[in-house]
Amino acid sequence: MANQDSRAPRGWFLTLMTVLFVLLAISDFTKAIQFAHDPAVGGLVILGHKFHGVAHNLVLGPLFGLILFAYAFGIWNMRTWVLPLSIAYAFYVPANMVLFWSLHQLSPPTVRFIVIYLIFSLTGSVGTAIYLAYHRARLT
Amino acid sequence: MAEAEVSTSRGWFLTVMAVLFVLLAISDFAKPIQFGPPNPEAGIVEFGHKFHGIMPNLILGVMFGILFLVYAYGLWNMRAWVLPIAIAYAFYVPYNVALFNTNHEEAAYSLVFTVVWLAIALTGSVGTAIYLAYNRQRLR
Repeated sequence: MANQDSRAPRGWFLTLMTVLFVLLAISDFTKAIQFAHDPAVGGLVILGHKFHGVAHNLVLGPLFGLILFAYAFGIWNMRTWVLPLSIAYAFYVPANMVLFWSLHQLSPPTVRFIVIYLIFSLTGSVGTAIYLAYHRARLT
Repeated sequence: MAEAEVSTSRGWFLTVMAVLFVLLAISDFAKPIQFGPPNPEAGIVEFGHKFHGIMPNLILGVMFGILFLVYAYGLWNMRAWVLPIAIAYAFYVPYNVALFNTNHEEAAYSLVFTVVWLAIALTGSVGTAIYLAYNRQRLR
């Protein structure tokens, strides 16, 4: 009985996050195409380093795409193993952002862009990890 | 019975974090002293903006110092009300750092400094929030 109760539904937040992670995975799978189309903007960023060249993006894009697909699958099915993945991702995303802006001397984007970007990226990474940790009893 | 078995001990991680937050509070209280002729680059950074001048540092330093002391008190005593503070802080730190880094002067900080700083900052903010969310049944 208690076991049945613990199998609570995913809820709207995790459903939305799953959809967004699938979209992010698709985006990562197409990094090579994005880079070929516009090398100035396209390219995968890992640990603050932007990868240039179609080959790099062709290899690393699908690799990260697969991780994100696995993450989305884990959230959708409320699996226990998704929690460590979410925690790692919660640390990775802010580190990646800060390192990227530290290593690249780019003209700063508008504050509005940064704020909107931060809302999405931090909710998806930090927010999802905290949510999953809080509701860990619902994971199976 | 099961409730009684739940440990309410703080553990080493939260003990370290509580001590670090007290140190952070002391640092914030001392912001107006840090800011001055020997170290004109010092100053409190809030919402990505570095505040110069003794008065802004005095007001904001004391304000954030008190907030950190409250946070440390909540952690030390394992209070349930500390969780919302931890969650807000987990979002605030990456937001603050990312926003600050988009506008910083060229090569302001070395890569090693940035990585070490990120490790400490993200563990203290994101790590503490996830830890508390995961162990919420230990809060009272």
